[in-house]
Amino acid sequence: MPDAIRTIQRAFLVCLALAFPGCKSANESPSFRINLEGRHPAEVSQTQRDAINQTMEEFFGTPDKPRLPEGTGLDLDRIMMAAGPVAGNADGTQQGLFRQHCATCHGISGDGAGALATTFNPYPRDFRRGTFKYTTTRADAKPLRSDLQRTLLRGIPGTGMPSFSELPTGQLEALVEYVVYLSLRGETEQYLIQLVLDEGEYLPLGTDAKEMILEDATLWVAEQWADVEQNPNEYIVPVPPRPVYASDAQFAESVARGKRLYSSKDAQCVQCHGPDGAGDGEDDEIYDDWNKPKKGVTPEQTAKLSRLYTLPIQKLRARDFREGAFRGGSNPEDLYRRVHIGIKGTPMPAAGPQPGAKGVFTPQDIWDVVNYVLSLSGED
Amino acid sequence: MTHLPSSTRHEPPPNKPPRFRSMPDTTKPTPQGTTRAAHYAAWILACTTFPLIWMGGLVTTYAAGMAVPDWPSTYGYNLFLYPLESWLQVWDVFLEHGHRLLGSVVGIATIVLAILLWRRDTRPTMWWVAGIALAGVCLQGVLGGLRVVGSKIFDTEIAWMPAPVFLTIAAAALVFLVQAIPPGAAGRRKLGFWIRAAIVSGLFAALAWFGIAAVEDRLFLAKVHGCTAPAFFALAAGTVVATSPRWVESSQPTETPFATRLQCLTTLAAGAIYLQIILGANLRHIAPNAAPWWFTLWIWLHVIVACGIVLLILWLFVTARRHTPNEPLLRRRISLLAGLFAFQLLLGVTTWVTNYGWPLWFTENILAVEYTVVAESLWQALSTTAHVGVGSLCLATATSAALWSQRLLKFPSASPPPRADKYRNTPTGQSKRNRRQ
Repeated sequence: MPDAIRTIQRAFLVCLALAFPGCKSANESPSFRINLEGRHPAEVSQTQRDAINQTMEEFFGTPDKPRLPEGTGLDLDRIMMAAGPVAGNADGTQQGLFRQHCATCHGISGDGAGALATTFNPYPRDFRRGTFKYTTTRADAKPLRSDLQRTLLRGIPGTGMPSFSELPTGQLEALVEYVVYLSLRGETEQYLIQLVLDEGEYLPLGTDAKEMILEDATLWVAEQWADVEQNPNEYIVPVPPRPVYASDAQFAESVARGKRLYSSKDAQCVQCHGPDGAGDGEDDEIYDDWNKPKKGVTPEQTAKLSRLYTLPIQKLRARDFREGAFRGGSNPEDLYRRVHIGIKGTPMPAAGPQPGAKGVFTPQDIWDVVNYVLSLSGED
Repeated sequence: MTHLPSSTRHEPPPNKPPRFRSMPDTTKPTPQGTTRAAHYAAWILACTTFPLIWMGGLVTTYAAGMAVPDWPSTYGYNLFLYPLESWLQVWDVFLEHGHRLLGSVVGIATIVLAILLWRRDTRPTMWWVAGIALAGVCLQGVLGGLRVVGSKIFDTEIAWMPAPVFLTIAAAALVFLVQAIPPGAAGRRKLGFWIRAAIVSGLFAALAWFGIAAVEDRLFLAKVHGCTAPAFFALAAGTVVATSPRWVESSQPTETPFATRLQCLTTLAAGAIYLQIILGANLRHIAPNAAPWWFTLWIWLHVIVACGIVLLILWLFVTARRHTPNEPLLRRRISLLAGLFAFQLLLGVTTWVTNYGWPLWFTENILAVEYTVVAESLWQALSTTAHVGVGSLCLATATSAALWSQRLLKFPSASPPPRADKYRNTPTGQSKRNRRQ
């Protein structure tokens, strides 16, 4: 027995020795990561980094102690509930919701480059661009908070994005508010970086420069978020009731019409989704807005460009309609919105009428296309 | 060729008086009556540690570790006096406070076991085991506390909090030393005593330093806390084995040329399972701001080691089935290990799917599945926690199998091993292994 114990002791010590290196990588008080995607690190001096970080902290605080400039209209109490390290109270109220549920995929900064990011296809969303895929608002508008909440509630089937239907509404609202905060912060940072790096703003940033950043970036973006909430009718794409088909023949006619529209040259659906909706179109090199800048003309150029980003380039996969499940929701109304509004940040275009543009399809056409798409999976 | 008893290292020659005060005569097997209480205590310890691991797993799954922000008190109350209605009211508080209460039950069970082993067991190895178990349970408690309190421990208001725990460790170390040293002033002056005292004191000083050095990094503490629990459970399982009547009775091992292979395979399996537990802890406690490739690295290592363990257990299973027909006890444990690990693999897949969904290659090429992960769902919590619990059970079973293989099997002294062995023949004509025994 002593031999066995000694052997196990040795194995235990070897295991511990193997486990400990790298364990100290965790940081108790993480900070927001500066957005230098697509830039060579040598392009940005330490003085410039410090100026950017300092200004951003002055405006938005830290992940543990977030702050908001005046006039953004965001709810700081909700943001505080989602921010910081995970903690609970005797009355059951929770804090640190973002770090508990989101940060391992979306990253502390909301850059979509969390520890698990490379495990997923598509990558987790980078909130810093202010673009969200599945919305009820028109193509050029910010999403409603209810759109983000719907995504949280439903999850995104077939991806790593879970449904948070088990969470109380208060926690969902706090998470949504924090996502808006990260998005606002991200867009402000982009503007600031451009100002400092590309336009060579004099450093350290003076009060005038900071006021300009606040006016032209933070408050401008915040106004877009607020405007959608205040005037929803102006931005929400209305979904007309689905036509009632008196007979199977009428429905079949709608499906046939949908197929013709789907295959038409103007619609360009076939290009990605293929002639039979199997997701095998000619254009198999499709990328979303987050990956497109990593694509070069030659493979060598692509490899060189990809090195400037945290995550390697990732191709998009057009939906195979025969599977019968859709990431933005599988209801006919959801599909109507996807065709009408498109999927923001991806090559899936808005085919419905937009302000100032007729659009490729009329509402009636969209319903025909939806019927055709649903028929491919045997649903009606 | 003479074979010495396996416990030679700790026993005096028959013609010499016993060296240690509490070891009257270790040349005879321990009478059943003296170890039965310790055996039951070891069983109680193992049976309370297993649900404690589950409870700890649930605490991590629900991220409830910080639901009670103070330690060792609970919202200012003494641990045992926290109002029942407040405890049952909030799920996270229920988990965290329940984990602490169950932890104290395990602590008490460890103290009882240690006392029984020190007083009733005549084997010095078991005194060491008792000391390690007591130190382990104290360390685990401190780790759990520091994981909650973190750097706040150095605030003047609560600076005294870890003091009782460290004092307990120091007291346990002292008792352990007093039990182990030879009696009389002359004996105490012996160099051996001072070396032993220095080693034990150094060990505890190192543990204290380690705790203080790592205290800033709660995630690191959580990982170590998560890795110490299965090791402690394996120790409890090992104590159950070593205090069992069958262990005491089995003084004549069966000779088989496959003894070395089985002993190596069982020990390797235990080591590999523990390595797998460490990798799992790194996956479970991944830092939110870790670089994107960290998780991928850990998950690949976890999968590769899992494949290695499958091969190891298959080899072990086949060897045991073929070559140990007369050792049903060992065969049962190896079969149990194989069954448990198969279940563990299934739980691993379930844990992945319920946490991260089906992999893309699976849905693209094998089966069209449009599955939505539901965060904090019952299935997610159960499968993830079961994966943690069954992993510890696999380690305990492998430890038990390793110990039994050492106890029940022996390489035959006369016949050569089944394959060329560089240690087979020594100048004295005795195998190295047999000489060690």
